[in-house]
Amino acid sequence: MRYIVVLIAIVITFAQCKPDIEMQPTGSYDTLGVTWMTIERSNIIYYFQGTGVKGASIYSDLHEEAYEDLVGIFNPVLPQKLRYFVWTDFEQAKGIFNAPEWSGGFALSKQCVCHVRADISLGHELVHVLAFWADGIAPYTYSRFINEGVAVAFDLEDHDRIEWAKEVLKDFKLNSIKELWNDPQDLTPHELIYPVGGAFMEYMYQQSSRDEYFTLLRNQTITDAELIYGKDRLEELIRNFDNQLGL
Amino acid sequence: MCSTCAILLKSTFMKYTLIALLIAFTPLCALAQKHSIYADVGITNVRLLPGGSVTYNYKLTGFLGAGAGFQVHNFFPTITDEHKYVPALYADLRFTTWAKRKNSFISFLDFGWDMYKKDNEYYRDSTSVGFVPHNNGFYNSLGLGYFHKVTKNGGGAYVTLKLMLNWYNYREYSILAEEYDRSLLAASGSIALSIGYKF
Repeated sequence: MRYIVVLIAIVITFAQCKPDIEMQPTGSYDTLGVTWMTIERSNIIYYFQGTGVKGASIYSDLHEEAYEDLVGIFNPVLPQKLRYFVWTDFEQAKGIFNAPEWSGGFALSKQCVCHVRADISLGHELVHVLAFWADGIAPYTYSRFINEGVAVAFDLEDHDRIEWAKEVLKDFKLNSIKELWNDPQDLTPHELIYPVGGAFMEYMYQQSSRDEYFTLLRNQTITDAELIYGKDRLEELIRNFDNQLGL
Repeated sequence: MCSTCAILLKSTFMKYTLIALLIAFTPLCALAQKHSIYADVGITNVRLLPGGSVTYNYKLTGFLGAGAGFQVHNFFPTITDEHKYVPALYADLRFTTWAKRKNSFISFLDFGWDMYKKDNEYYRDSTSVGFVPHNNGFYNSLGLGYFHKVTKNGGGAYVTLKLMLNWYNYREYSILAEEYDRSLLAASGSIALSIGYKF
């Protein structure tokens, strides 16, 4: 009996000390001059620039959970499994992809690929891909304001997007969000378009039917939006939102 | 909103609590000046939310006292937690300067136990993922106070400024390489400005 008690104590002690790693790497993959540690999960194939197994396992847990949350919103039908490249040296990725200096990640939505720095918001790049393939239909027209806006609106960060937009607008002169929406040259500074676009797309989600909102995701120009919502209603929605921002 | 928070926000409740403490402790202190109670209410630098503390003190020498106390303040207890009301029990060491003059300064050092239930969130940076494995933390504070007018019994109104720290364990798992996995002792701090009365 005494030995059984000792044995149980030892088993319990070692059971507690054993590293609790949910997911072991499923392989490795060489591309872009990096040997990636891969972890294939049910929703996403992860490619880690590093070799830290426990950290990568937890990281993939968080993103699988985020993916599940976002699937409920976007009902995506992807042509292939999402591939998520996690860079621990994102400077290297910027050099390869010619990404802007301020960026922390980007999505190649059509190819179902994301390249990210490990600390960017859980949802942002996932949303780019899932919104692109919402209901299995890719967008016909593109607007940076709508595209980045929806990624910020559903980035799964817990912050007040209207307050963030108001705060940012203290440093910029803007008469209406139409100026950001109508920006074919994509000249709007990223410091402005992300928070204001995020707040706007969150607001539009609250004000639209599902059909209207997802039609907007597929037809993103302001002219398209006039057809979806009706010119008068869209004007009213924009005016109300401008008022919320104090424009 | 937690019940402690609701209580603290009811200023009427606080007013009557202070009156009750005043009535209860003034005779006690008159009988024995070696025993005193410090009761204060204040705000932290976290959205200026209110909190308070009550500390019992036993005078060991003319300038040194020791005791114990209880406080509730609002702050971010760990890197992964939202700001919340955190109750704490602590042991207290208190030094008084100019003990025989009308006005005086005090400084105090507290050690104790912050009581909170951790949020099960993860913190991420560009190379790692981390989390707080345990509830509760080690409380430590360092403060300064000023009495403008000390009464005959050694009591009076005071103002204090204190730095409060919650020490906790933090586990970090590197994505870069396992050799960088580590367990850290981390501290989360806030500052409280309070007014109170020594009974």
